[in-house]
Amino acid sequence: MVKDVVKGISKNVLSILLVDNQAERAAMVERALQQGGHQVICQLASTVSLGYHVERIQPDLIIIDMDSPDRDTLEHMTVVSQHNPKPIVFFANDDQNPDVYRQAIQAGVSAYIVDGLTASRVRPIVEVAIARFEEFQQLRQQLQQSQQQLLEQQLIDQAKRLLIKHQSCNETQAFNAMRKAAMDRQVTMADIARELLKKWEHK
Amino acid sequence: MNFSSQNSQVAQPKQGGLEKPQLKLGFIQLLDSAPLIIALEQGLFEAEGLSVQLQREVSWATLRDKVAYGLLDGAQMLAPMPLAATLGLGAPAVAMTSAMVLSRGGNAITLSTRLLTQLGIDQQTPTSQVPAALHNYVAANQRPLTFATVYPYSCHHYQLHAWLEHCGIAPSAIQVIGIAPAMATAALQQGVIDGFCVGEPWNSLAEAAGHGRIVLSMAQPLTNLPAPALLPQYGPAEKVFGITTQFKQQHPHTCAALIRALQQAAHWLVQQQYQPGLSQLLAQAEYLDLPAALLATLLTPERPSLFSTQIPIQFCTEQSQSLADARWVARQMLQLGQLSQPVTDQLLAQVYLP
Repeated sequence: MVKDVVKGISKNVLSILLVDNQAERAAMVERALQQGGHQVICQLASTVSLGYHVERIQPDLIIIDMDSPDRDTLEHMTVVSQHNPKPIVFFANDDQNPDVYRQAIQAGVSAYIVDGLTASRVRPIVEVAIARFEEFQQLRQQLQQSQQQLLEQQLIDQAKRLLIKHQSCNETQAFNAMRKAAMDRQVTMADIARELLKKWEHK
Repeated sequence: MNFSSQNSQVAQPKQGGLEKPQLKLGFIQLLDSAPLIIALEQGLFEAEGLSVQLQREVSWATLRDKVAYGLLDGAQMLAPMPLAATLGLGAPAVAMTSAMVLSRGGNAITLSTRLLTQLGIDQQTPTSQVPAALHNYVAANQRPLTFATVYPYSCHHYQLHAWLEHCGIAPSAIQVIGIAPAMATAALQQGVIDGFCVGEPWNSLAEAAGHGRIVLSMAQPLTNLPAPALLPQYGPAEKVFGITTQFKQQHPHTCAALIRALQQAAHWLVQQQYQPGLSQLLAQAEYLDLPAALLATLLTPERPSLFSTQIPIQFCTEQSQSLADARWVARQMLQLGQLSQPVTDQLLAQVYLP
């Protein structure tokens, strides 16, 4: 059983060209695909000569960041087939499930396959890439959130110190005054802090 | 820049609730994205009760996909794009329509300084000598040449092929590749390509930097090109405001409001084209992200002698294209083998004559 699975994988080894200028994300995708037994070639920087690259490597599948300008170069190759021995087509062309396509776009993944490869063979690979892109998106959001929180906390602390100085109150009183103002006006503590800082900016 | 007076009657304001007041619209880093930027910056969307967020995209393919799957509500599009998307050329078919024409003109062909030197053409040589020189160069099989356009379903692509045909160069004699507009000048500089047909400001930027010379504006009266009959002087519709047919059907009032705001923006552009404020607005980092002084020179009607060729852009207000415009696009697709059979006028009317 296990043997069969291993055999199945080895038969399914595809060469994949990954185009992504986010080094960290590219590494995540590369690792995941290599674990699936695929051969991955990474192209990190955007290149004006992607066309030559594709013709030289002749990958079975190209996975590319949707926000890469190189997409228009690939798009062009799908049309000008006389110059390209291996025409590539967008994977969803023969895919009956538009949800995969939509999910890919939301995650920022696009993929091109060599003509002749079926969607069913490519889809698991694309799904791996989608999952890693989504994971990266979440990590980035979490990072942004915690940076935002840190920034707001710094603002609140700064405003609190100003209140203590200008209103000659203690820390608890300053904090409570700010919290009450925020609750009364239904805004965040950080908003109140920003206002206070602006007010005392030049004093 | 000129103002189009044809079909310029402004859509009658229909009072009615906006189905979707918050919208996300896409654009590409090009001079003719100005109507969207101006509509936002001058509060013209806001005056229609719309809260619009503009999102810059780096590739036409991604812009199309985001519109097709609702990540963008609408976008500045190359005129052939709604038809290509509707027919499923290069991507799964999603019915799209052009809600209005944004601009005509603004495209040009620029050849690299290296190629021009090899052709024996210098700054003083009239550009009218380029076609014959290029033809002889290709015929002598000096070296394989590579030209670029931005996207296969674009007026640039069709115009470049028409020009090569005019030069007597067979499509198989040179290579044509696709490059996103903002990357084209770098490709010219690096010698990856020998020439390109793209929209402004990229031709002027390449020439100003000394990487190439503009040899033909596609909006010039095309006396030396097989000019499509019955087309306006500025050439076929270049950019349109593209939306999915589904969005249009589900949001009729929102679409009408969007069109009114964009029409107002075109009026504003004509009135303000000589004002320094315009170039400063467009130059901002989130829009064109280019030096305002340079944009100002491109927006002046009489470009300084620094530039060899004028590249006029006409901002438009017409909602429908003429059938002649639409037929021109369909004919180019057929001629270049992008389509295997002709498109009916009925379909063209659905896509381009709302």
